Amino acid sequence: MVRAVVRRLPPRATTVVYPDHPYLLQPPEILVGHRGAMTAIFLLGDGERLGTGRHVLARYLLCRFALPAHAVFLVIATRPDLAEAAADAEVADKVVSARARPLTGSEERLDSRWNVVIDELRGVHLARFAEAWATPVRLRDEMVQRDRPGWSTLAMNIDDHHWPRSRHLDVSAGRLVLGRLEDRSAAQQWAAVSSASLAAARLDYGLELGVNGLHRTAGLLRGRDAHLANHVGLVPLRPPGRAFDPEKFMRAAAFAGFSPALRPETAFDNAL
Amino acid sequence: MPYSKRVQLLRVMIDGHHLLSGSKKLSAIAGETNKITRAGRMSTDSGWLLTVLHTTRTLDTTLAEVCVAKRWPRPKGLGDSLHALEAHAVIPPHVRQGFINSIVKPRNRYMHEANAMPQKREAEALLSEMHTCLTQVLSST
Repeated sequence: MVRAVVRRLPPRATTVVYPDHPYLLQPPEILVGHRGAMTAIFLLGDGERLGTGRHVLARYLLCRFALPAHAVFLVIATRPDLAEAAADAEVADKVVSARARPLTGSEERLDSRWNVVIDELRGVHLARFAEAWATPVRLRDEMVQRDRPGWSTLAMNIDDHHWPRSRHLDVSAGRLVLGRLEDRSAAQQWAAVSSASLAAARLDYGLELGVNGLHRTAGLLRGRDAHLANHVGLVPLRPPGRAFDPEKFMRAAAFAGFSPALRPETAFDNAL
Repeated sequence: MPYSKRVQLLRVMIDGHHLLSGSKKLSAIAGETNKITRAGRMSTDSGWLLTVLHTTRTLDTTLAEVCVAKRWPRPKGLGDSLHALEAHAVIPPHVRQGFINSIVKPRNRYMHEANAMPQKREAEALLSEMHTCLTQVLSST
């Protein structure tokens, strides 16, 4: 399906399939740049629905934060009924079925409730990323913990039904703790960091309640009734088998809010 | 993940950026990214040096063109561009300082010091930082 979509893109457009984005472990399937416009294309296969499986809202949210605000999000569904359901979710700017021409040149980003609230949250998300990436966890705790208003949004969004289900991930003091992964293969590390990043985005932004949860979380942050948690991550610096950009796992985890630990054994024990 | 997927991402980010669509240097930047891919196929020290050279030219020119498109004074170099981006709240101060330490200083050494050649790991770290810097600025402007 990817090849079929790429064949029908404008011939002079610059295209990358499965892009290697420095912040994203689950980027859009295709990114297209053409005459100052960018389109992120997500492919919705048979049996897939927007909001579940690999199309969880957390993936779309992280992609929105990582890509320029003017990027258009396009969902291509294999079946018309899937396209209709995806259009109802408000997350994409445009939804088409697989037989339609993917880009007509008239695509525009919608002023949907989803996009408007993401524009409001982008600054606070990127500020947390900059802090998480630049400052090891112990130093950061000493520097900024006292300035945080209220509870973390994660603490306000989490309950027994929405507890993260991963042996590498735990919850402590209103934040997530991603445990040691050094003895795992590169693929297992990718899976653990990827699922931890999605879990963090889901819980930080209340995505269990969809767009309404995102609005509720934005209201809490706007009113300084809550803050975005700085999670703790013990992500290996150089995962096995990764030839290029060895820090990508750490950076992607930081983009989802995990501060790399300064001294892993101490930070992990203290966090728990 | 092949290295080409990263370089191609940079091209998409540049070609798909609304501030750069009117730039007279857009085709020169695209030419520079093509040279990154070619240099990346040489697995020698001079191959890494060439990759760093073409990536830094891509980064320097793109950031300068972003500043010009924003109608800020044309920066004299990468450090100047980063200062302008910080002054206009595109990147926070500690991020600018981080890029100065991780990109500008090592890059200057390899560009100006005789016989300074990056090894594979050093080059990879420097290139990743340059990709991150470019992606972050283009995503935030």
